[in-house]
Amino acid sequence: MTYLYDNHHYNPPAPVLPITMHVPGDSTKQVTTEALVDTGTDITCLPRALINALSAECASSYNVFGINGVSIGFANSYFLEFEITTTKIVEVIAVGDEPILGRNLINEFALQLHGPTQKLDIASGSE
Amino acid sequence: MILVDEEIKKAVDSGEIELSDFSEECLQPASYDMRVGEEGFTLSAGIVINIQNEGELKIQPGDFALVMTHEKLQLPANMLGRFGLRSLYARMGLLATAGPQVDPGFGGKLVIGIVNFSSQSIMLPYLTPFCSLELYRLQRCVRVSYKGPYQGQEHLTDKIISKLPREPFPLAVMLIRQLVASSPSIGPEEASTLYRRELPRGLVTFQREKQAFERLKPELLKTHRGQYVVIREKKAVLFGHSKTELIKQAYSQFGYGPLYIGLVGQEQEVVHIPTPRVPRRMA
Repeated sequence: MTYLYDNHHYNPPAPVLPITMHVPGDSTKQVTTEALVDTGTDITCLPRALINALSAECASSYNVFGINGVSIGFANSYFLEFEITTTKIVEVIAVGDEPILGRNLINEFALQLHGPTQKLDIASGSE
Repeated sequence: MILVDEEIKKAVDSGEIELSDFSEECLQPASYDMRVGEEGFTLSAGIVINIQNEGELKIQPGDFALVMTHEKLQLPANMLGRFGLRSLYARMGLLATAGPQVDPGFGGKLVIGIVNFSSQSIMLPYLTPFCSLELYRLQRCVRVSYKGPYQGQEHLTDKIISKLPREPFPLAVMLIRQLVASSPSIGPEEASTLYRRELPRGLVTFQREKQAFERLKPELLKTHRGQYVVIREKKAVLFGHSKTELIKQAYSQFGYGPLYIGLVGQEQEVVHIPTPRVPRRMA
């Protein structure tokens, strides 16, 4: 499947993916949004309001470091079921105000970025 | 000699004082405003609260709270600090109760004990400047710098929490109840909810399982070092090498709900989010 880069919210344009997520095993409450594909980030990050909307339960915690290795504090983590081209359970933390797909999710899929045409291809199913 | 704004900044810039995440906005004429940090504790909740996650720390009437500062401080051997609540919070009815002096040589985050003497709950939002630190330059270096038990503290550990009383201070509770009873603005229904534990049940359970993990860790290190463990009802119930596979097993076995999954190791698990953020443009 092919998705166009987002040139409305990001300058330069950035690869984004539509994602749908819910708590594992229960899709009664689910949220669909677009998330930035960020290979520099270790773990997927979601805004707290989105996690609250899913009634997700905390499962673990991390010491989070930002740019230049500066600690930005502790964050609880949650496990959510993501539907992209297939379903995956992925750990996320509630940080920031925009959805960001980190390497813990990106590495589950075969993605190809084509900058000149501003297109992101994702293979169906996981590799 | 008390340092004034320019001297504080100069001392930080030169490295004489280490003050993490220094911000000129927190600089006052002769003090520095410390901000609400990542961790807090209230007797009414009975657990360490992740203020960064929750967004704020709620201190109920008559309740006692510990608030850790966002900033980490390192004083040289010829300086001491004194701190107190910002007058805004003092006027709202909060009273700082502990740790007025920061000894020469102290390094770590400050922990401030606060009692809410007002009849209303008071919120301390994350990163809000809430206490002022005065810095004094001494005439000479002290002979022995601070080497006490709180040297290097960066978290509200069980060691700190275990020394606290179990319930809010009886005298404060009595005074607040009398105040509430005589206040036309607060009805008896609200008065009966004083000290109610208001954190979501799932979060309270999670925090308790996490604390159980910390208690069990020394023993787990002997048997399951490098593995993940699921803590449920304060017991280690599942072990494995893949965190995701383990959580799937846990939810399958116990259903979706609060638990704690931790790595049996010496250090807290770490993640990096190094990408500099440029604010998103509005569409």
